[in-house]
Amino acid sequence: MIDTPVIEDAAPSTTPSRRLRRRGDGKLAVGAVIVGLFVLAALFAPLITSGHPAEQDLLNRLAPPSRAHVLGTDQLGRDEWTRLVYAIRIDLRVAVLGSLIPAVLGSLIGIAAGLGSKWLDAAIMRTSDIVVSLPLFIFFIALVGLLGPGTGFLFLGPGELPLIIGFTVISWVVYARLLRSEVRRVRSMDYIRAARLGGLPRRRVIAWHIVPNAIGQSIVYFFVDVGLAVVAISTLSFLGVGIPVGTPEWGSMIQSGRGVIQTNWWLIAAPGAAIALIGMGLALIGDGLDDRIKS
Amino acid sequence: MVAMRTVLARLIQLVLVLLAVTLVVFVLTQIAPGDAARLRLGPRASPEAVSELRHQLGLDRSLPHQYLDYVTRVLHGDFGTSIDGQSVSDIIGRRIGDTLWLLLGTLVLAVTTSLVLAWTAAWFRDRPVDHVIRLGVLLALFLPAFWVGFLLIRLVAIPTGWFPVADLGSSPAELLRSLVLPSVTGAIILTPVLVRSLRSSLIDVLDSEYIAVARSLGVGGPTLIVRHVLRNALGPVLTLLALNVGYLFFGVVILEATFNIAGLGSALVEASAKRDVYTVQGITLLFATGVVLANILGETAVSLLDPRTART
Amino acid sequence: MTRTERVIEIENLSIAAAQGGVTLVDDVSLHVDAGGCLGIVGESGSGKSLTLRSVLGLLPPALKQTRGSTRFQRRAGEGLRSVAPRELRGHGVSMIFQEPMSSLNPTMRIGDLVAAGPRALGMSRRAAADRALQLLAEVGVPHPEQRARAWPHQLSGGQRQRVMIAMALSVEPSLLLCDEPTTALDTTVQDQILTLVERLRAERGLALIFVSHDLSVISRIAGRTAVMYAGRIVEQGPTHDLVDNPNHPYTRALIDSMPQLHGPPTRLKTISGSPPTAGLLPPGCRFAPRCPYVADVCLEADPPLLAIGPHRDTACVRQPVTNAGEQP
Repeated sequence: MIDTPVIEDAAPSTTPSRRLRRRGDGKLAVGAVIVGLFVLAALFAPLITSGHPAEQDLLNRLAPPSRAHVLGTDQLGRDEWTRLVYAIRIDLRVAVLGSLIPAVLGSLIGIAAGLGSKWLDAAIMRTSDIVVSLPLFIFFIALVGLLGPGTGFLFLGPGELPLIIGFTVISWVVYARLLRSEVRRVRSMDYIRAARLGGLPRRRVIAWHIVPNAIGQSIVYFFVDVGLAVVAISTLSFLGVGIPVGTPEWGSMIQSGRGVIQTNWWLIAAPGAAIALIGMGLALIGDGLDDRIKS
Repeated sequence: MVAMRTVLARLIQLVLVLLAVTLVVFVLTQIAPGDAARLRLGPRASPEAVSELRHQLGLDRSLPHQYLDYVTRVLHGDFGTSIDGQSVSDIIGRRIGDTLWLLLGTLVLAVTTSLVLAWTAAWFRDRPVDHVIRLGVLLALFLPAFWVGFLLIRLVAIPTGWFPVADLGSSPAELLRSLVLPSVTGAIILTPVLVRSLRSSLIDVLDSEYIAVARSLGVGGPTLIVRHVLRNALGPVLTLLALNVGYLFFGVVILEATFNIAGLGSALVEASAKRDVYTVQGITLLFATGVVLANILGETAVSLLDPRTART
Repeated sequence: MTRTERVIEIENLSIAAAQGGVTLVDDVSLHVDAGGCLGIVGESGSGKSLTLRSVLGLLPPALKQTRGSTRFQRRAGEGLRSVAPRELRGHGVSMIFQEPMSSLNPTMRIGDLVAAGPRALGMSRRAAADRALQLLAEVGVPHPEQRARAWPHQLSGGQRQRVMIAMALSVEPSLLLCDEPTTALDTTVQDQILTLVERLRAERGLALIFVSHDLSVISRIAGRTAVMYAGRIVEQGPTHDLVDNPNHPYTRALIDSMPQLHGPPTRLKTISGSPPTAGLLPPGCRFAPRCPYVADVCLEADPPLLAIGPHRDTACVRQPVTNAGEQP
């Protein structure tokens, strides 16, 4: 019955969280490198490509990869690598705007629902229920197919504005619900009551306490959402209702490469890999941040 | 009695939601530019012919009147005629079969895969296997499905010759063969969306005290998994599936476009490219109805499955 | 010293968090005699429920048994044999859980729940259903035929706990583990359930391990009692002897905090301070920071559990002092 007791010291209890943080940092680093390379490539596109993405070399169509054309050329003799790099500009621009606008809008709506009257809250929540239950991508195909891609807007090219509007309609719900529940949670907490009793005006209380608490999760979701938007942009463009064919965009490039899948498979493989890679990079950043917040 | 009343309430809800959906679809197509009659007759038709057709289609009436006309026609199963003069109902009837097969194939494969992955992750939670599954599933969310489909065609279908690269087969064996690659692609679309929440519902059940009680009595193996764990996880699974039906339909549209299958999805894409308003209206309404029906069916099934709400 | 037959012996049981290795149950050894009842008493977090759950290998996934062996007597007259926890499930040992609201599968009818154990042992559907009806009658569920078709949510807490007991009995155990079976119930129902457990124990010759935070419940039902504090047994012995004559200051404090039904009313004493967090144990004796008898020697090493009499063990170096009844 007698044995020497094992007494644990306090030190081991700190290791798991440290290990967790290290794991999150690994994902963050890999994700940041991937996304960073894409952003740099987009910024310095003229320096790392041979020329203009629309420049045709009709004598040199469907050429295999060579020193002059790293990824070969497409049916019109355009350099695939150049188009691939210039596509980052379009895909990332639309994806970031299509995620940023719903993030801001949704957050504001969520805060309004959390702080507003019961009636306003119910109206917003019911609306979000309906939005979630509708087949919005199908509606998008129907609407943009019938309306056409448009001619562009300000600095946006053809087809970009409908995508951004579509993503806004679809994505605001997540942020609205997140912010609403966060506002409700924080509002019921003691220190907010204390802060109010201490004479802080309402707006200051929100600014100081609620927003910083919710912003972490929103940022995590934002990164994932940008990645999902890239996939959605290319998918809709592939279906013919996103960025018009001919524009250097990954989904359209895959669509125009499908006819030569047997011989020039890289015309399909390369843009798809680019979509998957940047999406995963953004997801890794999001997941790494999530690990960090949780540890 | 109570179950009857629940179903009745759901049916009333269904009618209301469907009315709302027709309104949305109607408005969607109203925003579309161009005149349906002009589109049909072409730019060289005489103004008289156009206004004649406008009158025939009821386009010269007020918007509320047009909407009422539309709803009445839809209730009679008349979705109008397409640009090239076919009845939209006929188009739908011809094309819906392939779409349903794709839905079925994708659902079966995706649900099985998700259950296996979610179970493994839940069982080995916080261990390396779990982390690998969770990260893998997160990353798989970013695989463009049409691209995966083309890779499968190029790397599997063409070299082996085992699977057709377009259309669904007609005989059962051929049908099954032609469904393989689209279903795999569909599963790649749907599985990543399901696994994460499935994992946490399974963990909820696995951690519950009643599972500990069952295990303490020596219940194990298939009985424990099916009768005790899966039976209790069924509700959350159905809810999750119902929530993702809209996404699943979008997935099937992608599958049809990728594998050249003449279902409703490719019909929608083709019709919207041709500005074929009535066909687009009909198919969109059908998809929306499918989503609403699936949601209501899901909710009803969940409440009937749970003895605490069913009270039979 | 004559020794009755033992049903189970657990030696050197330690339980730790799977990650980080914080020890929650530290080197616990216990045994139960055939037909006897061992009570385990302690505050929440003392590791008493974990000790009990580990007998059947039902620890939460975040925890691991890091040490310990179990020996069990399969049939009366046979000797003790080494067993793995899972082998005991449905075979000789079963358990009554604390929370009757969450321990019954909500999607199974009462009859199927009670039949689940026998079915797992290979009994036919019909025989298991008949057995379930008998058991429901035996544990005092009124109208068993009707109740067997009911769902758990249609039953009261007390009725559910009776069903739980019927389930535990359905596999004909020789040892019944009771994890605070009365804690979640109203006082009157508590008493009924305790009476039922005592009756079944006498009728079926069951051995019991009964875990509770309530020393008055333990002293009613248990012949021997082990007192747990911060993951260790700090004192054990025959219950009446231990209550009349506590050797460890923690046991004494537990008794003092018990309301007295007989004798003049006195003010209840509470134990000052709170038990240490696992992984942040004080140096020396775990109870030292809250102990009124604490001395320098207590801070040097955690005292081992030592035999101080024929049936008594205590883990306190100040035991002669406390035993003399000296007030601090």
